[in-house]
Formats: sequence, structure tokens, C-alpha cells
Amino acid sequence: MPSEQLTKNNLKQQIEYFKQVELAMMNILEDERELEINLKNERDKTMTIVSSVGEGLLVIDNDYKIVLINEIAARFLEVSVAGVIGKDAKEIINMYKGSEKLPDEKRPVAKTLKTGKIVTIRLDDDIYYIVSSGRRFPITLISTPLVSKGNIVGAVVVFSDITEEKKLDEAKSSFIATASHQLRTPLTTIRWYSEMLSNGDAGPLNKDQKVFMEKIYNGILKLNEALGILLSLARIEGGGNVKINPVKTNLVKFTDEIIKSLALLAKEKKINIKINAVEKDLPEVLIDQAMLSQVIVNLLSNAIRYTDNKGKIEISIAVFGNSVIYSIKDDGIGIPQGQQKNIFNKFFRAENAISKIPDGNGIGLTLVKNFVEFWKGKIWFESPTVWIGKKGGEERKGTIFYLTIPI
Amino acid sequence: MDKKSVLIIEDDFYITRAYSIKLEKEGINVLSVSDGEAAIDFLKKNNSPDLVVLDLMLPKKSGFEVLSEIRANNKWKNVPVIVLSNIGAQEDVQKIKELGVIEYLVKADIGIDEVIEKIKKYLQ
Repeated sequence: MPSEQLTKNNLKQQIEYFKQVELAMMNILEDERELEINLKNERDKTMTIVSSVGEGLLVIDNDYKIVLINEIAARFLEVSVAGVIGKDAKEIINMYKGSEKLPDEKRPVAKTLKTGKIVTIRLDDDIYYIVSSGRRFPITLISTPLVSKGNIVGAVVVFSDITEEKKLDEAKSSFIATASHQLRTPLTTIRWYSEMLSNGDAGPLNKDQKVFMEKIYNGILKLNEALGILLSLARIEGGGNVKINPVKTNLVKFTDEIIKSLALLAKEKKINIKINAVEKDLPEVLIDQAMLSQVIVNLLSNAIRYTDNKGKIEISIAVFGNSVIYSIKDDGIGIPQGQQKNIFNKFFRAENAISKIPDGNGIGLTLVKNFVEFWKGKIWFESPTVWIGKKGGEERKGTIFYLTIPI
Repeated sequence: MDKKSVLIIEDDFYITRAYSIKLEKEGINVLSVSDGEAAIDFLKKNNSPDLVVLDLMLPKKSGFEVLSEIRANNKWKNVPVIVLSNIGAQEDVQKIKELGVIEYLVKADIGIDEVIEKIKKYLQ
């Protein structure tokens, strides 16, 4: 029966076909399972890396939702890893600067999502996290953009609880403040009595005694200057409680007065100081004059001290956007390349500075930076810098310090 | 002409002594007390001095309190006061200036001769 034969053959063929389909499907399933296992392995690996990061790690998407969190971050924020995925990070964490709530648009992640830039928070930025239990702790943080196919799709946040570091920092500042005050009291007695001794209040001195007393007196003045800077630093680093008294200030006139007060120092070394005010109608700035004076005096006396005899110093004042850029340029010894990153560190002195003047205190620039940043300005420098030589060609020597003052 | 008188309110014996040596040479009458309570007591029992030199860190009653009491009392409120202290924090300076002083000086930052010159100037 041909038809029957046909059907049988047909059935055989169909069975064969289904067997092949089954085999193919088995293969596919196996591939997929393998893929799944691989994926799971990869994910486990990533999660292991993420959870072994010693700091809190969060990945936040464009809508501010948490997409990934490691164990340490969950512990800091007092949440469970599973429970927090998909939640709005702003609802989990409140951010404060000192005692004021940080507006949403000023949060580091918001800035990163908007600008695509890395945003960093340091110890002295005074930023706190407050979690749902009400626990408040100071943090340092770095927020990095997550970019996919050229688009910003989120931010990776790495943060640390710096409660201990902050305590240490505060203790340090308070120690400096107390120590400075306690040291000033005996210093006053030494200063006043050595002055009285020099002036013959206890009878006339011979020539040698006069010279010796002069040495003692100069030593006291140096010690007192260093103490004054330490005290100012301790106050500004203590944060929060610095009271200032901003007044409208004409920078050219103000600078002129400072140059006059340093004239003796400059004259001894035959150093010429000149002011270039680029604009005729330079706006007045609203600033605490005691702070501004300390900044300019420090930079200018450094420029005089670290410049050879007959050197020159140029001060330029110009408006740039919403700020005044104030610069002090000298043709002195400069700052060695390898040491430039340390120049604002407390007690640091560059090697060439030490060999020129062995007994500097190394805290002047730290104070300058702190003050400038306190009034929300910026400070930077360039060394060596460009001077036009006598024959017209460019010469690279000296240092130029720039700082900004908001208008 | 009557001698001018200065009341020194200062707990450090040697600082007081330095003022005395220098001011007496200038023919100025030096009166002194070494704590805040004694200062108020002295003012109550005597005629007002021509000038007060006030320290801030004082036993029993601080210089801040002494100055507040001086300014709140009708008899003394016009007495000129110079603060000479080793506290130099801006907030303290501000607080003192609001209470009313003719000058606020940080002791360690100024020489004795300059202090005496200032006192003489304010006594004229």
C-alpha cells in the first residue's frame, strides 16, 4: 500500500525531525544555562569586589534611584541592601553643610548628573549625612559620572564616615588655640621686660648688652608672628564660628597702604614694587580687611624675602567675571617643580626657601589659602613664570601667585 | 594740675608692675586691682579714674562682665576703657567693641612703649 508506505515514511521522517528539534533545543537550553551561570559568576565577582571596597559605595541612576549599594554603605545609612534598591537616594540621605540643609541641586550627585564632572567633598568642606534614624555624621565623598554610549546614565558615589578624623581635627584646632593663648601671656612679659631693659628702665646697658638684647627682642617678634598665624589658622580651621566684618574696600588704595608698611623691608633690598590696575574703574570689594591684609602682607613679604636684591615685584588687579583676580609676581627664587604640590601644607618649606632663609615658619601660605577659601575665592600659582627680559626675549623665573576675591 | 589716674585691672603681677614703672615715670597715678570683683569694688568706693586698662581673663569676674557693669552704671559709663588682653579672636573683639571701648589691643602684639604712648594720648 503505497499510501500506507508513504505515511510510515512520513512518520519516520517526522520523528527524526522532532528528535533533531529536541536536540537543538537541548543545546540551546544548555548554552543558555551556561550563559546564565557565566553571568551569575560575573555578577557575583562584581558584587564581591563592590562589597570588599572599604568605603561606602552607591550607584545612582538618572532619576536619583539607587541601583546598587554595598554592605558598608548600607551599614552607614542604616538600611538593608535589598530594601533600598530602587528607592530615591534623596529620601534615604539628607545632606547638610554645617547646620544648613544642602539644597537638592547642590548635592554632589545632582552636580555630577548635570555637568558630567567628578565632584569631591573633603574633610574641611564640613558636609554631613543624616540618615532616617536621625544619626548625623561627617563625610568625605567622591561622585563620578557613569557614562554609557556617550550619555550620562548615573553616578558612582564612594563615601566615608569621618567622625573620628573630624574629632581629631577639632581637638587639634582647640589645642592650637589654647596653646597659642597660653604662650602669648609669658611672651608678653618677655617682650615688655626686654624692651624695658633695652631702654634703660633698669639702668644703662653697655654696647654688648644692647646688641644681645636686640637679638632677644627680634627672636620674640618672630615667635610672636608665628604664634599669631597659628592662632588665626586654628580659628579658621575650627570652622563655623569665625566672625568677620566685611567692608567696602578699594583694592588699589588698600594695597598701597600695605606696600608703605613693607617699604622698609623692600628698600633694604632695593626691590621695586609696582601696581598695575588694569581697569580704571575697579569695583570695590566687600571683604574683611583684617583677613585681606594678612593675605596680602604674607604674599608680598614672601615675594620680598625670596627675591634677590634689586629684584622686582608686580601686583596686578583685574576684573574677571564675578571676581577680581589679584596677582603678585616676583622674579625671585621660584618654587621647585617637585615641591609645588606641598607648598600650601602646614609647616612645609621648599628646599631653596630653607637655604635662603633658614628660620621661616612655613605656615604663612597655609593661612593665606585658608583665608582665601574662607571668602570663597581661589588661589593658585605659577613658577617659574614669564618675564620679559631686558633684550625683549622671554625669561622664565620667579613666581606668580593668583587669588580671586568675589565682587 | 592734678595728677591723672589710671586704673589697671590685671591679674598678672609682672604686667601690672611694667605699667606702674612706665606710667609713674610719666607722672601718672597708677591704681591697680587683680580680679574682676575687686575692680567693681574699687570703682564703687573711689572716684572714677581718668582711664581704665582692662584685661579680659580675670579671676572671679571676667573682663567682659566688668566692662558690662561699667557701661550699665550711670556713674561710670563715660569712663574711657582700653582693653589689653591676649585673647584676640574676632568674635571677642566684636563683643568688646559693641560694649564700648576706645581701643582693643593684643598684649603680645604691642610693645610696652607703644602702650604707654597710647595711654598718654587718651589722657590728654
